[in-house]
Amino acid sequence: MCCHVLHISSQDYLGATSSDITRHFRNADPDLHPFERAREYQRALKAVKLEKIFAKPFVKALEGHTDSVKCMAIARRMVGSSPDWWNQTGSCDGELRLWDMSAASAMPGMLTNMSLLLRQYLRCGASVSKAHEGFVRGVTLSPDGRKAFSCGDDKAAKMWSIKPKACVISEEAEAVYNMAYIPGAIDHHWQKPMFVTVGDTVDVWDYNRSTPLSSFEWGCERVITGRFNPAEPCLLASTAVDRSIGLYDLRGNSAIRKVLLKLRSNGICWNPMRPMSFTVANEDCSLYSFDMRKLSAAMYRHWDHVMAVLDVDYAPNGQEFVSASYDNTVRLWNCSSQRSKEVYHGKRMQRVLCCHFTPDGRFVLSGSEDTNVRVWKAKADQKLGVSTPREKRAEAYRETLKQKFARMPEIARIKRHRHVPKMIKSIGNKRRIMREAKQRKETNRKKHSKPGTVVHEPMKKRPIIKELE
Amino acid sequence: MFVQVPLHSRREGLDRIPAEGNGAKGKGRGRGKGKGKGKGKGRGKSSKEPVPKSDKGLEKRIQKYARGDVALQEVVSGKDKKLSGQMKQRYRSDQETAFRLAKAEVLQTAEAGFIDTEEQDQTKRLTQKDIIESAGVGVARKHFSFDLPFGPYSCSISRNGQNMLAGGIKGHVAFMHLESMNIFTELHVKESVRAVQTLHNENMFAVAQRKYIFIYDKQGIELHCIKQQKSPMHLDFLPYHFLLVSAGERGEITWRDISYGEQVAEHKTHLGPTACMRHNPTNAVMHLGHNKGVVTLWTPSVKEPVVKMACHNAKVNAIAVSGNYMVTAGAESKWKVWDLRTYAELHCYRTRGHAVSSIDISMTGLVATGAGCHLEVWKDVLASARQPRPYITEEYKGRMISCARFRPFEDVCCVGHSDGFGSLIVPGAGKANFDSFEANPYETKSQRREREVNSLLDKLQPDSIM
Repeated sequence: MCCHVLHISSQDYLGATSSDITRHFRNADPDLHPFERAREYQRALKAVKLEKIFAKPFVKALEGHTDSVKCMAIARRMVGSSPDWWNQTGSCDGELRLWDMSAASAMPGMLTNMSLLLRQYLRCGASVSKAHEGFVRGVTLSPDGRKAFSCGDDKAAKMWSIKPKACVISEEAEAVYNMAYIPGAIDHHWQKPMFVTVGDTVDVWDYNRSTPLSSFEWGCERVITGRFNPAEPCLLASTAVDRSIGLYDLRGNSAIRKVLLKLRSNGICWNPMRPMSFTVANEDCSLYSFDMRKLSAAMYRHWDHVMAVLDVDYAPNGQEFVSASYDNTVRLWNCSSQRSKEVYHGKRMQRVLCCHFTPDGRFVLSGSEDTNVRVWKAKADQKLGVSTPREKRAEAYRETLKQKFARMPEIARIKRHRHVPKMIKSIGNKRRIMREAKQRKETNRKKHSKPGTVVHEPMKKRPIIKELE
Repeated sequence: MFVQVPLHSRREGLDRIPAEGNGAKGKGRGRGKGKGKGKGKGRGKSSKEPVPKSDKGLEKRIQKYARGDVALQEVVSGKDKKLSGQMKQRYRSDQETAFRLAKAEVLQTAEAGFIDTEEQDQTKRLTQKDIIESAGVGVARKHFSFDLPFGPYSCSISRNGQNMLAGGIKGHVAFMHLESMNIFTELHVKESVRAVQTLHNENMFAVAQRKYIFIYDKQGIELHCIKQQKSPMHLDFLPYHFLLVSAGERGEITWRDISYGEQVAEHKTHLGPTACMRHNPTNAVMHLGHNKGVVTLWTPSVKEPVVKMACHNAKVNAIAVSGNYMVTAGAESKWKVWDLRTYAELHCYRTRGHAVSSIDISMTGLVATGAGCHLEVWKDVLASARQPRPYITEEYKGRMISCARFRPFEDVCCVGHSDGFGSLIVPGAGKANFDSFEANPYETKSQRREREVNSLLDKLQPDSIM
C-alpha cells in the first residue's frame, strides 16, 4: 500500500523571513471562484461609481481678458521636438492674447503633477490690447505656430509673428490685409501659407499679397464661418446667415455644393480622421454630422444642448468632439452617438462662445462671456500625472468591466447621470414633454389617417430644407 | 515509510505534460509563429489538428474553464451582423482564455493526496495508523485528538482551512490555529453552546448560545450580542454576501449582514424547530432540514421556501450541499444523494445501528458520514454509480459523532464527538492548489486586511441570491 497525503509546508509558500516578498498563487479552477459573474457585476458597479467620484474635470481658468472671449485657436502641430502649443484667444474688446501651454517641467509652484502645464505670459508681451477696433472676430495660427492671424470689426485681417521660445507675440502687426466687409471668421490652410476670411464673400489670401487669391460668392449676404479640410487641402466648408452650409473647391475656383437648413449654423468642424464628414453647430440646439457626399440627410443629430450651439471642435482622433453653447455649458460627444457623453458647466461660467480640443486630445478649452478661458479634462475622471503600472492595470480592468456590464440598468443609470444647472434641467424637461406630445400627435394622426397619407419624416432629414448643387 | 510514486502514473493531467512540453519546444511553437495571425484563430485550428494524444487531456482541461459557450454560439450564428461579430470575438477570447488556463495548470505544483492499494476495497480497512505511517512525518502533526468533558462538540473551519472553532454543548468554546495548534482563545460561556461559526477572517467568530447569538473576537472578548434571534440552533455564514444565517428553535430563519449588523430578512418556516441547516456554496441558497423529513430551500428575498422536498420518512438529521448535489441523512437510518438540477434521488444508502447524524462534503467531492461511533468517508458517490463500500472508515469507540467537517485545502476531516474533538487523515479530500486571492491559507496580516476591504467592496447584495 502506498499513500500520499497533501502536505504543504508553509516554507514553500512563505518567504524565509518576514521581510520577504509574499508570493501569490493562482488557481483558476471555477470551483474556487464562486459567484464569478455576480462579483464582476459588483466590481463594475464599484468602477462606475469610482468614475463619478473621481470626475473632477475642471483644471484651470486662464484669466486676463477684460471682455468676452470670442474666438480661440491652437497651433495644430507641435513646435520643434518639445510639445509646445500656442493657444491664442481673441476677445470682444479687440484684445489678442497668447497662452503658452507647454510641457514646461521647470515651472515651480504650479500644479507640478500635471504633464500639461499652463503658463500665462501676461507681462512678457503675450497680449496685444488693441489688435482690432471693436471685436476680434476670428483668430488662427499657422501650422508651425510661428504666425498668428486675426480679423476684426475694423475690416482687416492682421498677421502677427510669434517667437516660440519666449512665447512673445509682436507688438505691431506684420501685415494688414484690408477687405470691404467685416470678416466673420478666419482659418489657416493646413499646409500652405494661405488663409481664408469669410464675410460677404469667401476670400482666400496669400501671406504676401494684399488682395485675395480667389473670392467666392454664392448668393448669400454673409458667411459666418469657414474651415479648410485637413485631408483634402483644397476643400473648404462654410456656413452662412442664409442658413446654408456651403462647400468650396479652391482649384475649381467655384462653390461645389450647398445645403439649406431650417436654422443657421454657427460653427463647423471637419472630422480629422474621416475627411468626408463634418459637424455643424446649429442654432436649433443640436449639432448635425454630415457626410459631404450626401447632404440630403444628416448622418447624426446630436441633441442635448437646450440653447443655440455656438462652436464645435473635433478631437485629433476623430472619435469625439466638443461643443460650446449659449446655455452656459460645454458638452463632449462621441462622433457616432446622438446624446452627449459629458457636460461641463461652472457656477461662474457664462455663455460659452468658443471651444477647442488640445492637439493631444487630453484637454478641452472653452472661452466664455465671463472673460475666462477654461481648461477641462477631456475625460472627467482621468488622473493627471504619472500612474504606476498597477494603477494602470486596475484602471484597464475597471474599464473592461464597465464595458462588459454597460447595459445593466443600474450601471447605465449611474454612468449616464449628470448634474446640470436647474435652468438646463427645467428647459430639458419642457422640451421632452413637447417632444413626446409631438410624437404622440404624429402617431395619433397616422393611426387615424388613410394609410400612406401621413409620412414620417426622420429626425436626420428634418432640419434640411433643400440641397443645392 | 512513504515512497513517492512517479507522478506520471498517478495524475491524469500530468502524464501528458511532457509530451506537450516537447511539442511546444519543437513543432508547436514553430507552428504558432508561422501563422502569425490572431491568437484565437491559431488556437482554434491547433485544437482541431490531429496532433498528439496529449491534446485529449488538454481538451478535457479546457472544458473545465469553458464559459457560456452555448449561449454565445447561438448569437454567433444570428442575423445581426454587428452583434454576431462582437460575439464571435468574445467567443474566441473565451476559448483562448480557457486554453491558456488549461495550459497554465502546469504551474500548479502541489499534488493531491491518494491511496494506492492493490485491491480497491482495501482502503476501507486502513487505519489512521497505517495512513500516517506511510504518509510521512509532517502528516502525523495533522492528526490530533482532544478528550474534553464538555461534549458533544460541534466545529466550524475557516474558508482557508487554517482555523478551527470548536464548541462543546456544555459551554466550552475553543478557537485554534490548526497548522501550529496554537489556541487563539478558549472560553467557557457558562451556558449551552448550540452552534459555532467562523466568519470572514480569524478576527471574529459567532457562537449560538442558549438564548442569543454572540460574536467574539480572536481574544475571546464579546463584541456583539444579537438578541433579535431567540434560541438559535444552527449557524451558517455566506462569505460573499457577509450574511450570518441562523435558524432557531421556533422555526424561523434569519439573515444578518455582519458588515453593518442589520437583519436582512427573517422567514418563518412553519415546520417546527429546524433540524439542520447548510448553505449551497455555489448559489448561497439555504437548505433546511425539518423534523418531518422535509428539506426546504430558502433565499432572503422570498418569504416561502423556494423548493420543498420530501426527502425522508423521519427527521432530517444532517444536510450537506456541494454544487449540484445534496446529501441528506434521515433518522430512519438512510442517507441519500440528490441531484439539485432535477430534485431527484440518485442513491440511497442504509446504515446499520445508528442513523447518520452528521454529513460533510469535501472540496474534491468525498462525503463523510458520522453515524454513532462510526465515521465513514465515501468516494465518488455524487456524480457516479452507487458505491459498494466506503473509502475510509474510522471507529470512535464509545463515543457519538456529532459533527464532521473537512478542512479545505488539506486531507483532513475534523470530527467533533461526545468526548471531545479530533481529526482524521483522509487522503484526497482537499484541493491541492489554492488561490491566494480567494482563500489563502498562508495569509499575512496585510493580505488579510487587504482582502477584508476588497471583499467588503465586492460584497454581493442579499437579494441577488436566487
